[in-house]
Amino acid sequence: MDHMDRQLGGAARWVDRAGDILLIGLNALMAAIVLGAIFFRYVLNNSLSWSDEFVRYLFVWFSLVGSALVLRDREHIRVEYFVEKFPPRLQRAVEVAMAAGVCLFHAALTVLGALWVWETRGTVTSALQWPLNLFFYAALPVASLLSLAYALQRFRRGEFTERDTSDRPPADDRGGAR
Amino acid sequence: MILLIGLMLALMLLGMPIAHAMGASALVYVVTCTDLSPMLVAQRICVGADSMVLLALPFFLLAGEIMNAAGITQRLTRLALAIIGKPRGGLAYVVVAVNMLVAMVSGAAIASAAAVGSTMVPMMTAKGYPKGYAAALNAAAATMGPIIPPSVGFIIYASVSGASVGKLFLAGTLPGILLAVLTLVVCAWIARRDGHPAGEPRNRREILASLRSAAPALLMPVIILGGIFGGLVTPTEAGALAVAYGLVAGLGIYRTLKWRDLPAILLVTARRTAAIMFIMACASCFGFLITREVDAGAFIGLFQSLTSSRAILLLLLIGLILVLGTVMEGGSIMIILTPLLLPVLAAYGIDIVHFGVVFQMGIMIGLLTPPVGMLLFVLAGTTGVPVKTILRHMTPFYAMLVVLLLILAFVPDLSLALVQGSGGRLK
Repeated sequence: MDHMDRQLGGAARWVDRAGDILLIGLNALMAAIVLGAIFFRYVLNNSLSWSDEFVRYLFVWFSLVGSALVLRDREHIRVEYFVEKFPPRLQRAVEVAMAAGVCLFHAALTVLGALWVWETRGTVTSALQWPLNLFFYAALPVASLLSLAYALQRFRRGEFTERDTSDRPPADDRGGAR
Repeated sequence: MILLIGLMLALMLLGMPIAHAMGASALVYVVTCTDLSPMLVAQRICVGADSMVLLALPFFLLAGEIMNAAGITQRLTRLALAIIGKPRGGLAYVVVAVNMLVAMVSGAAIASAAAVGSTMVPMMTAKGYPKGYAAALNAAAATMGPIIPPSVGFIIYASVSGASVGKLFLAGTLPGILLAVLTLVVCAWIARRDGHPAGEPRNRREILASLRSAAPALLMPVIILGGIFGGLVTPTEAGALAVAYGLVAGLGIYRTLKWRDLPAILLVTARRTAAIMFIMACASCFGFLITREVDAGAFIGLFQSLTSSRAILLLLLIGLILVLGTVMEGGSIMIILTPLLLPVLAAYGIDIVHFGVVFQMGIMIGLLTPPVGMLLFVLAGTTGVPVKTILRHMTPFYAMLVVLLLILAFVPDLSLALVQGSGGRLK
């Protein structure tokens, strides 16, 4: 680990763990709310008015924040078949260009998402009457900022192809998304 | 228009994640070619992730993982072993039966293929089956998972096509049974040809014991499918019920699942869901621009200048799905193609539920075809049988699956008969 990594290491590890825990918690919470809604409808004969809306917006946060963690673990679904056939130097150049594209995309989404949150201030959700922009649209800029951080981390480490990572000790198995 | 699609394809083929390739090309297009506000991209991505239907994804993935972790798959295997017993090639029939039972609870092919394959392939090899055949059969039989309801693929297709999840689940039932029957036929033929070993004779005590041990697991599909087809719960709610039931069975009845196993299971399903959901979100933005910019009439005209026959159109689409399936992951193919194809299907009078079944079957074949065939990789990974060895035994299964795909394409009633009988009951 270089100097910068050591300085950022503690904070980065904390963000990693917090992200994983958030995802686990949201996943369990969503299941619990849907089950609770079924219970209220069939057992207590009293349909909850807020549960669908609440769980839908949780799911948006879950999906977008989750996709940042998927980016961290480089498990986003992609077509790697052709790039891996390229000669090594070209392959690396293409991977660097694509990683740069991902950075730019998330930088743009962070800004555009934040502007959209500002643009929609004052709107409220239909059942709960909570601020729609904060409870719904804010998920995108927040998650994109996290994605941007992970995308940039890849540049700091300079890992773009198998070759770049093969001399490092294997990364810890984070559960493997497939 | 050409910029939008061309840039997306270029980025995707150069290895940018599919979601980012769609989102980035949409953003570039909005900025350079339209007078829309670029904030539209942010808004559409959020709207694309907001879906009650897709919430069924993490639930069904979770239910499948819980089932595997709780050892329910092994109990179903024991039951199938006891019931099938003696005939020549018996273990091959066990593989088909177990995959069918697992398919009624789990909606994904890959996780269950790993769980079933890791017990059945060593068992078959020990009995003297060629290991390549054992792995090939397990890969082929795993395609039942997403055809027989519940099905992650149908949930994705429903959310991009607007078809009802419940109807798609019903539509997959008969094709799934036919797939099981045809796989059994192929196994029987190969067992005779290659002189595969017979199984253990049946033993009533073992049948009863295994039935008792599997009973709570067998109740799970009754709850899930009964709830959906009876119109009691939505597919999303059925997914949550499946999770709850899996937890009760694993933690309470079987006591094979530990509380401390749960965080890892929740995290794995969360990541897998998020990867699909980000594609969904970006695809919704991409699809919005496509429908806004593409003149549907001209697009349909393009197809009509190629052929006016519904049969040839279906063959063309099947060919396209199979070709894409060799290098792309199935869900992504569905998410990208379906919005483009919907107006074409309508113009040729093809039912979207029927096409969904054909599409799903085509994608399952894609999971088995190299260079990128996830089921081959997973079986090679969990059993140690090299992909090359598996491929040597795949030919009869490929032939069977393609014949089935054509039957499904040209006999719409196989998919639609149950749906038509269901009336408006489904949620």
